Amino acid sequence: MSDIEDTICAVASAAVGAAQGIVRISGPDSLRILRSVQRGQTDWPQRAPRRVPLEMDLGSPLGTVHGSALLWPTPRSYTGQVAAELHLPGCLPLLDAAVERLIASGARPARPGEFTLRAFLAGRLDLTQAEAVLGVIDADDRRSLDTALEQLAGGLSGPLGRLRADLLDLLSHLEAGLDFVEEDIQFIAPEELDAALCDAQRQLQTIRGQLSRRTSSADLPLVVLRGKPNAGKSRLMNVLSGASAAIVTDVAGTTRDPVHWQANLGRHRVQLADTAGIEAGRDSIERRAQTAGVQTDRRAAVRLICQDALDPAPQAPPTDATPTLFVRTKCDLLAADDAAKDHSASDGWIDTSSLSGQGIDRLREAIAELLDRVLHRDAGSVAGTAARCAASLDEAIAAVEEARSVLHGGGGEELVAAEMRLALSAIGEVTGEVYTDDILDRIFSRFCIGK
Amino acid sequence: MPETVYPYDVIVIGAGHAGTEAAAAAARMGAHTALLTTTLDTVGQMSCNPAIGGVAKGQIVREVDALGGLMGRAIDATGVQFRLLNRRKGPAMHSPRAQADKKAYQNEIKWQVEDQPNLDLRQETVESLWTEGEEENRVVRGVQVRGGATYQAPCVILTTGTFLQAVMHTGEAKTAGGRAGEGTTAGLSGALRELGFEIERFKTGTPPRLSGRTIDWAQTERQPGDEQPQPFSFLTDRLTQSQLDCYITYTNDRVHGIIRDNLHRAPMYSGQIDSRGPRYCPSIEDKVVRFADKNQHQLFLEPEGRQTHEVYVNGISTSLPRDVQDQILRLVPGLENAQVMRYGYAVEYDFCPPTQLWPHLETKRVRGLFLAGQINGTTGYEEAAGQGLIAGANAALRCAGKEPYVPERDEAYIGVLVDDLVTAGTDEPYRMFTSRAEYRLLLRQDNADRRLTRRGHEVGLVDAARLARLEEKEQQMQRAVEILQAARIEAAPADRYLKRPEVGWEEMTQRIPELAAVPAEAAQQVEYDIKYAGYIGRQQQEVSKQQRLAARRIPPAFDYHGITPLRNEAKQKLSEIQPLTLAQARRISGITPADIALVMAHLDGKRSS
Repeated sequence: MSDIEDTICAVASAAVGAAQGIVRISGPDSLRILRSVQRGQTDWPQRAPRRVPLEMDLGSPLGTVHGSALLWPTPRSYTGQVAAELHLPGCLPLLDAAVERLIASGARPARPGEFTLRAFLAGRLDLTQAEAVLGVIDADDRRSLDTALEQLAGGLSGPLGRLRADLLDLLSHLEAGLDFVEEDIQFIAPEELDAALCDAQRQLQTIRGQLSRRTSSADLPLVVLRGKPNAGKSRLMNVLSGASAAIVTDVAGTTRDPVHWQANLGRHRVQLADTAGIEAGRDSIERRAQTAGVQTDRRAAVRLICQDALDPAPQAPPTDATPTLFVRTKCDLLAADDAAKDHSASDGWIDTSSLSGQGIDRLREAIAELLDRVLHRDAGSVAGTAARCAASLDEAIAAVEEARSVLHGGGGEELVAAEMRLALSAIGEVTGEVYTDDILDRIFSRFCIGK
Repeated sequence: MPETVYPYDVIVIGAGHAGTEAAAAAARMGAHTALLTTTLDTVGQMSCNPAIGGVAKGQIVREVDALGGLMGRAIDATGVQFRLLNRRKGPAMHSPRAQADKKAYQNEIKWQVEDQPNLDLRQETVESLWTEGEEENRVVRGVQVRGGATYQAPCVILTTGTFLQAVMHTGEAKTAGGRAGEGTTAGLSGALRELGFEIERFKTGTPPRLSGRTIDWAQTERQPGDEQPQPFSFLTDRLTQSQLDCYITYTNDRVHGIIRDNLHRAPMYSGQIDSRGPRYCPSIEDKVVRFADKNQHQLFLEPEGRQTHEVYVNGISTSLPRDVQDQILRLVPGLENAQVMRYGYAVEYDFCPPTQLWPHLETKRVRGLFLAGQINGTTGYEEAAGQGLIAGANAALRCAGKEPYVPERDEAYIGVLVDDLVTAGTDEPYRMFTSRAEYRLLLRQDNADRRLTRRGHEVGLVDAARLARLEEKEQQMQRAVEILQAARIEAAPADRYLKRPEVGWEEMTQRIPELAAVPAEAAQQVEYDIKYAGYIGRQQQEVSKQQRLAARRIPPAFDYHGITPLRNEAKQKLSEIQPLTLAQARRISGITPADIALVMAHLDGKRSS
């Protein structure tokens, strides 16, 4: 949040599936950066905001993409800075690639809420409006980070955490040798240090590679359906997606694995996930299915709790922060007079019937509304987070490289340590951890310091 | 009988390493200052190890000196062995350390304090603090001393070390007192509690002292001082005294066995002591338990002075009973027949968690009351001296109605020290390490004067003569740079040639004879500046990023509870610490960038409305 003077960029269009996507850039270097990625003419206005044609080279395999840019060449923009909006075809991989191109040219991926903060500082928003956005960033930031690590980089948070721990160990060896010179501590040999750094570098590059491969796949927000077996989740999913993805039977427990299907809800294109019903697993296959369901649930942008209208036992509401809707299914099976009166308004549940179509539109609207709230935040998107992760990893890789070249050049351990600290703080940007106390903890638990 | 009242600007209570620097700093800045101590015979006493400096600590001494303090000149005058540690590493790691003649050091400090204009050193026992007003309007007015007299001043600095509610432990034996042979000050601790201060307890240990006459030195390793010793003070040109040696010996499995057998008699294991001690300076019983796989530990035998046989056994601090201490020593090579002159002991004492202070070390609770040194949960003479200097300078600034002076984290280890203390607090006795400083490459012992002396002169801590010395050095550096830029080696400017790791200043003077005229100190600065320009530049960039946040000041008594969307944890922490700037706010543990954004938004909202 610190650097108001940095030039930041992010995919700004929230709704997926729109014909046009928007990438925003703001900060003093915006125009210079745009010029450096523009293939066509750059004879742009000096004062008044204007729309100009854009030809952006995105490299192989995307090539040159055509669109337009809305330029604010003076600080009289929404953010109070020189800024631009790039209007490009609404395809996520392409928008991600555009952001990456801007980052490579000197922009920094925006943190959640950063455009909003700048707009506020420029007097374009009042305090209440700014608070509304900034106040929810925290939960949202944590969430999108988790999502990026789990969903995009699937299972990479583990290796990254281990790598961070390894680097900290290594650094604590170096630091112990620097700070506790009078102790009889076994110092780490330069060859050993170099081998460890080389290994760290390789691991970082692997993680970075995996991140960029997965970032460009379409990362749709996930709408997860949960409920007891035979609560009608699969049928509901079919109706919402307008297809028959999940095998639907009347036997409870038919759905064993999370089944994914896509749907358009309002402005949003989403991924629907139908999980195995909530019940105590009887056998190992069932337990595994349950685990998969829980993991899917954790990534949910919106969760639907489904309950059979005939089931008298109510379900305990989940306690986490995931936006949740409560859906009563199979309302067509209720006695006629019961079915006639709609409980939705009174108890917060939405009454539906997949058979008659009752309440389905209302449900669609409710989900879309929640998605509007959850997803429409600058750079809060999964792609935005992924871009930030990638930039941090690049920084970490560069720092480890520099550490090695210092070591090879015969530079002091304190210079190697300085680079390693930069690498660790870049990784910390991704994993959300700081390091100074960690180092001392590690030193004191490993070495007997006693003079 | 009418009560005697002595009016002053600044009163300092306690004449240890924090108190003497505090009093001298305040007096240098023109404040009429009283330094009160229960006995004039322990002014500047080195109550633990007979050494000044070390890694990170040596840098602090150089900073204290660059700001006109006492410590550097005193150790230069009374040191008996000087070594520059980490000499084979880069300049940021070079750290001066010296063994002191303890008594001579203490006399030197006392003499400097006595010699300081504006400063009265007096033997008094302080019985109570005199404050006026209630709650947030409370101000200090002075102190009452034994014998019915009152010292009156708008600023009072407490530097009472380990003397608050102190208890010493040697095995099962417990004695009240903060230092062997001395008493405790119970009253002040109670007074602080009554004023609403939170008080906690720490412990620390000391090793036994032996008679050097009874040590068999032939069985130990000799550790001599540097052949060309480097002074601590920027005012000292050369050290000429003869140097004494230190010696190294080791514990062994038999020693460890005895310690293990007697753990139940060590107060720290029997439960007699339950307060926290430092992890970096564990007792020998701790080392044996926690590092069971190590079959020997180093012991440094350090002379306590020229006119005493007393030897300090560094590395074996203990609270074991005296008979166990005797048994242990019998089994250490060289110490088989050594006679103990003082037994080791552990001491437990009260301290005042330092998050209750502003960065200039004034308490948030009582206006005009400052705390410095071990009372703030730190350990070490150097850490105490650094805080004393900051407290003394700021008390004087307060009297003069001026803004506080606190060096930033990128300017001095002293800045790191006070910021760590007031922003994060400490859960063990706080000692400085270079790894605590994120801008370690900037905070070198060799450039402390360039970092601090000019600013010190502006605030009144540094006299004209010291400033003139710095300016002379800077002119010499300027001249050297001009020579280097004008000369060419291998068809490139000579300064670029000097960047190569294998090239040193000596080679440069051979290639460019004009450089021989540049004095050594200036030459060294130029060499480091050029060689490390890249790394220094990168750290400077980090610094300037932080400076933007540091420039965003948060007004006093800012209401964090008024920011509705702020997380409760953030509200509590920010309200407790009351950071002065956004940069400080960000260093509070558990505060997220989003919290900072919210506070920033509110600051701007307030300003525009």
